[in-house]
Amino acid sequence: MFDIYLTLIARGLSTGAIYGLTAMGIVLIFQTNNILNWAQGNAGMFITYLAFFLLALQLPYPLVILLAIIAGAIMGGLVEKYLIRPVREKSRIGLLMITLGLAMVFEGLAAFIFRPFPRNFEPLLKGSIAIGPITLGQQDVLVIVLSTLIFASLFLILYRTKIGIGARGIAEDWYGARVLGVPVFTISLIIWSISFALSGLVGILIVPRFALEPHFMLPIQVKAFSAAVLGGMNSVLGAAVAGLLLGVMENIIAFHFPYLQESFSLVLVVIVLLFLPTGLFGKKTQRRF
Amino acid sequence: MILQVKDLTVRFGGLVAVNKLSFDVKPSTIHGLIGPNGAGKTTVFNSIFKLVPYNGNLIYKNIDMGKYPTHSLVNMGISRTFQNLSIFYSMTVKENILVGLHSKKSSNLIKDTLGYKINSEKELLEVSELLNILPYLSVYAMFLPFGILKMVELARALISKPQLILLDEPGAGLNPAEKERLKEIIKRIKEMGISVLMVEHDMGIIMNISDEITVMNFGEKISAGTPEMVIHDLKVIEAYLGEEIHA
Repeated sequence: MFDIYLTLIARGLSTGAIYGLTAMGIVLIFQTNNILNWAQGNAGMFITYLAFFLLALQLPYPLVILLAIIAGAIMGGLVEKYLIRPVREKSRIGLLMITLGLAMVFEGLAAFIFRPFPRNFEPLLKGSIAIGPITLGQQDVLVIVLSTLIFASLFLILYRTKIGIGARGIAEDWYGARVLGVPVFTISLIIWSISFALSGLVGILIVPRFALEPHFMLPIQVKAFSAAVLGGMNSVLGAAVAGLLLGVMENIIAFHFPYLQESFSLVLVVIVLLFLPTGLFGKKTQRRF
Repeated sequence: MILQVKDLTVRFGGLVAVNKLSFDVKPSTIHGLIGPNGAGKTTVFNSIFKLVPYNGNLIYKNIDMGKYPTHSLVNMGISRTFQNLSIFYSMTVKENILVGLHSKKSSNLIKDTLGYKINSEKELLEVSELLNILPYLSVYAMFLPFGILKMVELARALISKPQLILLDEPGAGLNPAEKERLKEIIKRIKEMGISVLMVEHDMGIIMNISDEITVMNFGEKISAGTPEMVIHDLKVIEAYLGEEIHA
């Protein structure tokens, strides 16, 4: 029985890493732009479609992943520059509607261009490996390793580099940072690029568990939102930790109560927020826009 | 002149917040900008930093500032503090101050990520010593009292080595001892060759240290000159609720 739990935890870490990566993208955009990016999941779905057709051209899988990340970064940059920036300082509701509309546009475009029927998307790594009593898919191990590297890199960038310190400044006081010489729009563009690149990577890593179709990222988006709120909307570390926590707990719940798997994350969020309104790692800040 | 404000007009819908205001700030002087609440003083600061749309000309060292985005002004040598504290509370004091160097320092993403320190320790120590905040550098801003945070905000504006600094009510919320210290600091800033444009309600501070003062009321200039001149100007006395100003 203990071995089963270890495997459940390990596989939950893989799922949680996916939630965490998506949640980090959501939190980064929330911090710098103060909006919920409803398009985070569907951007990943759209990029995954692009990857699918690149793979069909017989391009090497790692190269396709790299191209998908680049495509995500470009898409994020374009969205920031041409959709978000003109509205950023004018209408908060407008921004929310843009991300919501964008999510629907991605979905509609994917169905229109690529057709909505499900397609099989092969993982980069097939087969499984045994680590002591734990048996884990190689793709799951890849997800855990890649996510750990990304979590660590993003954390170091945010806390050690000039861009990171600037981004954290923007997160608390957009105008204050701007007056201090922080190129707020450039940093915002970088953040959107990073977030969409993350969403593309997440899409490619997770899609083999489902099938490629225009809605496959919807559950990931919902869980990632839950993780972002659970961790604290102003904490990138919180998003990562809450994502992992959610993945592991959800996996264990699903083992015992399969029908509760989907609703569990939302119930957990409500319970935690009752006692910790700013989430597990969130801080009360006096935000100025 | 380090700064020339020419016919500055700011409208918020039908309200004229600043109306054809003109004044000059001379190099290495302290220029006070005073007036009752709602006179438009902070709006002047916000115009200089392009945070509000305006008509008229703002000339800094013979350069029309209208062409430059807000974030480039620090690079040109202008910095400011805010009426309401603009502090990054989830950062340490050191990180807060380093944000002030953003446009001045180049950085290498990979080297920095791997632990390479941004070469700014010298400036950091200088400004921290001047403002007496050296012991707080590694403390998170959210744990510090208001008086220290005021100094942190000032340090952040000074670390970029500006030639013109805009101080928006630096004395607000400070106790008498802190105000005395603030006066000495502002004089020291002037001695460093930095021009100061300061909005302040505390007449004990502004009349004491200003070289020149411009007085505003309802968005318009009603008086200008040395502290001695404006303090006895009837228009100024009338604007301040008919009471004589006590320096």
